[in-house]
Amino acid sequence: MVEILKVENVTKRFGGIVALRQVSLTVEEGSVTSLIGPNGAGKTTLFNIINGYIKPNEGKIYFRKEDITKLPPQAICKRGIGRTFQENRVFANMTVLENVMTGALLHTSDVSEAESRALESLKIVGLHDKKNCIVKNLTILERKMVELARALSTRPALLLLDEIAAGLTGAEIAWLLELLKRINSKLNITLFIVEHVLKFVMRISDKVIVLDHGVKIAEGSPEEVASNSKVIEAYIGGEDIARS
Amino acid sequence: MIDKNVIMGKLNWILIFVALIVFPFVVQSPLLLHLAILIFLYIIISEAWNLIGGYVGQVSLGNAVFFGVGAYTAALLYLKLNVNLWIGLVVGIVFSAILSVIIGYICFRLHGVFFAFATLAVAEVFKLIFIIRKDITQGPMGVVLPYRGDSILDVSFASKVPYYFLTLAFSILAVFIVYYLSKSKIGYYFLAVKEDEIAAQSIGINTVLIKILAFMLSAILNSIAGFLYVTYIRYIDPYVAFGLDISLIQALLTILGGAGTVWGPVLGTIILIPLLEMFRIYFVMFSGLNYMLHGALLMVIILLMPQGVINITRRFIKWLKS
Repeated sequence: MVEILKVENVTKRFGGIVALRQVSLTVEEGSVTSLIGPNGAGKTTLFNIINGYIKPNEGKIYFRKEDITKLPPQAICKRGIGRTFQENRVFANMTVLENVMTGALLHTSDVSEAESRALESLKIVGLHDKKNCIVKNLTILERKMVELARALSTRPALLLLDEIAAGLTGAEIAWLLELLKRINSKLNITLFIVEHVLKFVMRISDKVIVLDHGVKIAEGSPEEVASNSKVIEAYIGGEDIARS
Repeated sequence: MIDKNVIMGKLNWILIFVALIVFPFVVQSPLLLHLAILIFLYIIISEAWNLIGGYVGQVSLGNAVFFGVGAYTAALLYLKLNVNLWIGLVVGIVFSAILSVIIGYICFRLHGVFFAFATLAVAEVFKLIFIIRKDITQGPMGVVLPYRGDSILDVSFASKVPYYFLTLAFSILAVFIVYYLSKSKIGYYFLAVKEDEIAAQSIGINTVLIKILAFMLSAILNSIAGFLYVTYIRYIDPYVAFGLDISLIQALLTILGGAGTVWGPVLGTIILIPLLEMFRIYFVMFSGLNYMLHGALLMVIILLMPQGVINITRRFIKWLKS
């Protein structure tokens, strides 16, 4: 398989704290790869480095063999990496359609063309009926879908999803699982997921990577990772028992 | 039905346009003409603030810099180097645009209140420079543009009517710029930057570029307004040109009318400017009372209508139609 994203020996220090230590990983084109780990493992930091919001102290990020380590976030988006945020960053005072159109305007200056593209993205995530609602009045799931549709409308090749299943009910997670599988296979978008909901990760991923205290401790198929003793220790052993 | 509505809508615009053209010939009162000219001038600067403050959400309290540069560039070039005032207008616009990029590049590293204070400080610095450098700017005495007979080249007229049309034309231009941008890609990007800069970057928006673009347009409109002011009043000094009044009023008019909307600043200006002028005329014996009334009025409006008068107006029109 062809690798679409390559993280090479990335180290990030915040003052005296080492958030990431010599992390290397690859994401294969067309796959669904998940990044898991206890709170504070450095998952979101790694996402922010891939996206260009934070610059690493050492190491490099390659997207389709191009070094993107020093690029600003908007340039990285233009090359084909989309993203959703853990804290749900929608444009709260704009309508659903306007939110998604803003994403679609990346590839066109024609507002009506952006509108029709935005409507396509909204159909995919099932928010077509609510296109004229102001986003701040929507439910959590709906807001997450606005963010997803907005990212989709920039036509990414690789989509980074930061805790998209957090806070959702069991039925909603099952629905989301099907949606993401469809986005992966039908739209041919590679997914890279940070997630706490392990049931979700196990069912969607081709590959799972485990971070703990900024170090990669395991990598492999969901089954391999689930039976890895280091992973079990990181999750169940020691102080993390309450969170598992 | 729909066709009829479209025709009626167009008819309304034509009627308003005709009324604006006929107004100075029907109304002979110099006071009313003066008021109309002031309204047009303030529409230009409030739409200018609307771009940077209303659409992009960056509260600039230093827009007077560009107003002052526009006024002084034209006036000083005219008096000292005999440069035509219209060329002075263009030079002033270029100066303001360059300045806005420099000031923006530095100040946009700051966010929220810190950005507001930084721009405020820049305006104060400019005021002091123009007061101190008497050799170039004539200092606190200010600059007087002499009347040399009616002439379009000298932008000098005995009657108020030419100024009425001049300021009307530029205020229409200002509204049109905001209207056009609000319907375009840039307008969507403006709002996205206001809502969430980090999210905006994640969908490919160069947020610094967008902010500087809005600041530059805001600067150009202020520069034009400064030019129109000095050619109309025939006098400018640093306290007026770079004063806090000019910076604040454009924010107030916009917020009052409805920030981030095309017609909000127009509405805010039409409501507040005549009231302010009335306060000034009728309460002249109690110095400062007009400012108190002005402040009280603003507090009431902001408390009752936080989204601006335009929001109430829209609801009222909807109610009328139903």
